[in-house]
Amino acid sequence: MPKLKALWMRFSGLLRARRADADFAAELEAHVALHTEDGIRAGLSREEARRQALIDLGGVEQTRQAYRERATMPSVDSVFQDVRFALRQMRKAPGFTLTAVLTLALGIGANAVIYILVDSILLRPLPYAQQNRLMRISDETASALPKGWIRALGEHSRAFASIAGFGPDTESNISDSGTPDRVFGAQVTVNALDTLGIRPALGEFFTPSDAIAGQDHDVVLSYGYWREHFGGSPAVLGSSLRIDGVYRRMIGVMPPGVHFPYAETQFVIPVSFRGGDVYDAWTDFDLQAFGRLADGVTPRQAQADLRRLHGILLPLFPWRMPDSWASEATVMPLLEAETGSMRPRLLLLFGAVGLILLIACANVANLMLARAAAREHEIAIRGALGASGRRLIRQLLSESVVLGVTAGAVGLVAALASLHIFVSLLPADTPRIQDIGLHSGDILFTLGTSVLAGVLFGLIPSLKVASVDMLTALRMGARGLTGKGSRFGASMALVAAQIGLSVVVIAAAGLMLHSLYNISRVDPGFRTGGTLTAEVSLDAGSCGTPGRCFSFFTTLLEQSRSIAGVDGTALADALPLSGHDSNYVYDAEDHPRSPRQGAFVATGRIVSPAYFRVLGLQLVRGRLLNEQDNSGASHAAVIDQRMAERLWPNQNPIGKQLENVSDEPSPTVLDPAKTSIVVGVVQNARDGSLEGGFNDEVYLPMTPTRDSPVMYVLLRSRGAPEQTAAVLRRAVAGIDSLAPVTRVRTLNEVVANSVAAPRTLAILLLGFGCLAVFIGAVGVYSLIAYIVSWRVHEIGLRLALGARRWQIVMAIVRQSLLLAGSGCAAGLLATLAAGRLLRSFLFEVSALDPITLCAVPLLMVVVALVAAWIPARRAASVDPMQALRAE
Amino acid sequence: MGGKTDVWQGTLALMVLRTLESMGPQHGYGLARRIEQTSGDLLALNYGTLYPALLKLEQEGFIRSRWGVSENNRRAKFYELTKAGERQLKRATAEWEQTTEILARFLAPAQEA
Repeated sequence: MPKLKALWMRFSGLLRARRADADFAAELEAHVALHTEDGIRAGLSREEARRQALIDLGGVEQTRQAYRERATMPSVDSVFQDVRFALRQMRKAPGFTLTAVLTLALGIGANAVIYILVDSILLRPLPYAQQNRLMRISDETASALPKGWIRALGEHSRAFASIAGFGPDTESNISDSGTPDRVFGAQVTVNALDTLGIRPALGEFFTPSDAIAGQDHDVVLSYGYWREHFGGSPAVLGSSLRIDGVYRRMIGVMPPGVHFPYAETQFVIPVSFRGGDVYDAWTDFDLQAFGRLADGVTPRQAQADLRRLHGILLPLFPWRMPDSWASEATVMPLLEAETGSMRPRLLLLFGAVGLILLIACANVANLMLARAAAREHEIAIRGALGASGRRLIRQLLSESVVLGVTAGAVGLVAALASLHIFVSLLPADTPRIQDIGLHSGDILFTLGTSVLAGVLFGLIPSLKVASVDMLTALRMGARGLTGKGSRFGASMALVAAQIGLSVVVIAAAGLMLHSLYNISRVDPGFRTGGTLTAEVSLDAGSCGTPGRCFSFFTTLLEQSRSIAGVDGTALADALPLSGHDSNYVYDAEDHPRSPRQGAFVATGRIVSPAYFRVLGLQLVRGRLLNEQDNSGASHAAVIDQRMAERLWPNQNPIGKQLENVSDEPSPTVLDPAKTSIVVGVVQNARDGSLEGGFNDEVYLPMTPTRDSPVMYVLLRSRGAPEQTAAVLRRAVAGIDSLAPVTRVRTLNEVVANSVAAPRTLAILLLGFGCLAVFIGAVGVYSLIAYIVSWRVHEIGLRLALGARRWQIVMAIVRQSLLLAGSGCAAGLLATLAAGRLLRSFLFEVSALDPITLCAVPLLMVVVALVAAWIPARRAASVDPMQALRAE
Repeated sequence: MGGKTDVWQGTLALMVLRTLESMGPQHGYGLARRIEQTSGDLLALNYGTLYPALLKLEQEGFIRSRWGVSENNRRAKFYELTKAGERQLKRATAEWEQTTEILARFLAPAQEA
């Protein structure tokens, strides 16, 4: 403790060194005076007494020096000196400083931004207690689980302290203040919030009684929703909120920063069980599971435990489940599960900005080399005056580190200023997107990067300078006539490396762009232009009243036909390529299955008859759905080509039967009262994503018994989307004033949105690629310009001896092209080597894509030509007389 | 200066603390003289080395200083022991006694067992 205190005192002593020095001088003066008086008293003369006092002291200067060394920290003090000197040097060469700082700031700023994203999304722990013990339980053989299964797992697993579940991300109608609002919420098991280890910011979370149907009319709000809609007032606790027509008591508020289970979740409601109903716990396959590991259990052990339990718990189902169902439980940290999809993309971007920083470093190293050459004389004098080689290197390195840190500060500010642009470029469903922000670790990272960059670009010039032969340098004075061919060797290598690295970045961007272009050319299989879509939602429970949803949407359909400028209107319960589709789990005619097998799964879509016409889906066989099918009497269904060929190859699929078995997943004998009959086959349409293949798809008519509270309206119209939307809103309000119209988008926007992730990646990489090329071009330009200025004298001589000006220009341009050529060769090799890493991001583009790999070097050659142009022209305009006289 | 011993490394601090404890607040010159006297003029103290040692003790919080007036009316800096210094003195004294005791056993004329 005293040691630490002393250290601090000494460090702070640096700041008040001057005053302390004066203070000590006074103290010493008193000492000598006292001693002298004693001497006089002992009979010595005044002079003799003072002499003796000084001898006993051991010298005033020596004592002061010893005192000073103890008072401050000599090593730190000399660092301060170096820094002050570096700052002076930077002020003396503002052009150099500005170029170097800006170049580096671009590199460091790009790194800071991406690091902030990496840190905020991938690295920062989730805001839960001991969050590394929280595990996501997923399963390839069961995309969602029934609540009974999660409860059974929780009761029987010894590897987990608790297991909880949450439902899908759904929007609900909240109408507390008259105007209907669509708000995202989710169902969670009553133990979910406690499993996370969070405490309510206000009120309380669910209790076990919330799991009992009838006693479950409670809701817990997110902190943000509570602040926004209730002004953060504690008084709202206990009052009711009308969610999808059900009044629920607000019992608690989640702590700030918790976005659970989804980024956009504003409230959670409990999953409840109906006692006495054996089927209730097992029929809805809609939950995802997660859990908290018991003490000392590893994820691997937990996974083994779950797989062991599978066989034991499967008979709990009130019917025979296929053995393969949920047999491959996987346990993975919650953080990883939430952010896994972002990881490779962010790391790719991180790699790109890392390369950009290297390019910037090479650039600044070159500038420093050029400057060091000009400072050779000064350095030589320092050396001659006794500065050791190590001292000189330290001096030069501290200059570059000061430069790096300055650039780091500028870069960090730029990063913060532009962060919101980057965030807005990210797809809206990016995990933890609202948590993105600056943290202290990011500043530390930036500082570390800056210092490292400083050392990196400072090392080559300082080693070179320190090895200068002082005698020669002193004797040569300013600069000699001879070209000294080797003097640019290091600079040329650096510039070639810059070009090589730029090639890698821009090639990666090019591959992404080509891939994005390929995706955009994929035919979705349906017509996307000129169609407006909007979501119209009734309260979730509305369809409980038989026929209510059906009649509402039928009326809406009729009324919207009369909207001016509308050519066609259709309804669908989900839009293609929107990322939200329902599964249709079914058994099919001619395909009996054993209880051990799972049923078939297709995408099921409830549509109005006009859907096919509005989307331009061509009929292949049979007939389309028509108005008569809406009664439900015809049991009609339309399937897509892929499904028809898979189920009944070389047969006529018309008239075959399908039966939806999602309510009762054990195999059934097809019951004509329940089955749907295939009446038509339409062409395939992309459904999940443009990159993926086609899915099996079943189109079913909307009937009084098969309806949905949420439907999308598709309007083919010639009018402006805004106007059409306004008319639609009025039409909906005319039927039910509490039904909100939301997500008004054109079908083109829906499709574009489905490729948001690859597009973001391509845009960001393209931006970084441009940055890389820009910095690289500056590098080429400054080197060529430097070489030209160095060779002015020689060029003058050549011209005087009869060289033609175009020969001079050619020589300069040739040099630039040589640099570009060697850089491109190295860069292409590196790209080929790195291609493997890119492959997973590419769609129908080879990592060795010839178009990209040809275009990129071409681009670099153009850049090299442009960068060499100005210096070359200057070289050509050298006046021989002046150049020779200047010596 | 034949016959005088140099001050051993690390013992000067102990001497300063002990002297301050017995004398009360004292200026640097007074301390130096007193240490010499206490040693029976056997120690050769280079007065200049005293000041960095005082500074170190002050930085560690064992002594504090303030300007005052000496017995013959001269402005001088006076040092005095702090509470932490008193504790440190006790600790260091105990350690030193133990060390000398151990050394004494080694250096004592060999005894027949």
